[in-house]
Amino acid sequence: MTACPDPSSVEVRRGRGDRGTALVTALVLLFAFTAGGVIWLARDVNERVSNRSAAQSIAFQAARSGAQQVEVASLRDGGPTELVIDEPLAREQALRIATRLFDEYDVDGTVLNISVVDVTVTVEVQISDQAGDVVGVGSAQAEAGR
Amino acid sequence: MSSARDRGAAEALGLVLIAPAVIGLAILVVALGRGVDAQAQVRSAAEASAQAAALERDAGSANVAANNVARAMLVDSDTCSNPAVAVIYPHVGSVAPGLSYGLVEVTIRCEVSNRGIEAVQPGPRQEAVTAFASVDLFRQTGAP
Repeated sequence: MTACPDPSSVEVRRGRGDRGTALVTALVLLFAFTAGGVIWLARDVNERVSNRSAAQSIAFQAARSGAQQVEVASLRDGGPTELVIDEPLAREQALRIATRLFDEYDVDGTVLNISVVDVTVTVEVQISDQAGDVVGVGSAQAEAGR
Repeated sequence: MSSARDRGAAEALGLVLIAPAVIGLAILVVALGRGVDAQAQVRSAAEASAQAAALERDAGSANVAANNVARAMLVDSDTCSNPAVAVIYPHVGSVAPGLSYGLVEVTIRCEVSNRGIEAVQPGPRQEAVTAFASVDLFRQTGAP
């Protein structure tokens, strides 16, 4: 004749088994969420770094193109100190280059500001996407060489 | 006695399950960090190469300048091995609107090594980054 197991000890063992399953499930979920979070963070950082780099590059190239729009007469007749930038043309060209580069880099960008002070052109652009907005500023100065 | 043995077994099982997961997660973090770093370095090299190419006066010189800059910057074989540099120089005959010759386009392609992170990245990864620079119309005589 075999003795019947004590019902209370069966309950205790079942309780331990349930706790073990819950622990393993919790650990799996914890690691899955952590891995997901790490991957998301890496993608987000990569996107932001990429956008910031593109914004700086676009702003700088636009500023360089703007600073190239010197009045030809000032180049011909004036010395290095009398260089004059054609301001409307400089703004137009900076905007044109920035817009084209937004397309080339395949980003959603806007030109925030183009300023022309003497022979210095400064361009500020913003790139927006789901990772957030990043701003890039580039400046270029025209110089006449002899 | 039995309870202590159960606890010991559970702890051992926990270690067996947790240790590989922790190590895997650490390797994943290293792999992702290396990927972000590699892309940033290749991007930086592509932009510098495009700028160097934009200062040249013809497609041949632009190609040489871009290659020299890219190879000088990408010296770490783990980050970018065997970089291939492709340069598209604008056709000089057609001046773009405004006082510019247009944009020079530089694309760098290379292989990012998976050394040390084979567990989460079985093979090397291909990286390709394109950068642009505007070619100036006015350039100082003797400029590089």
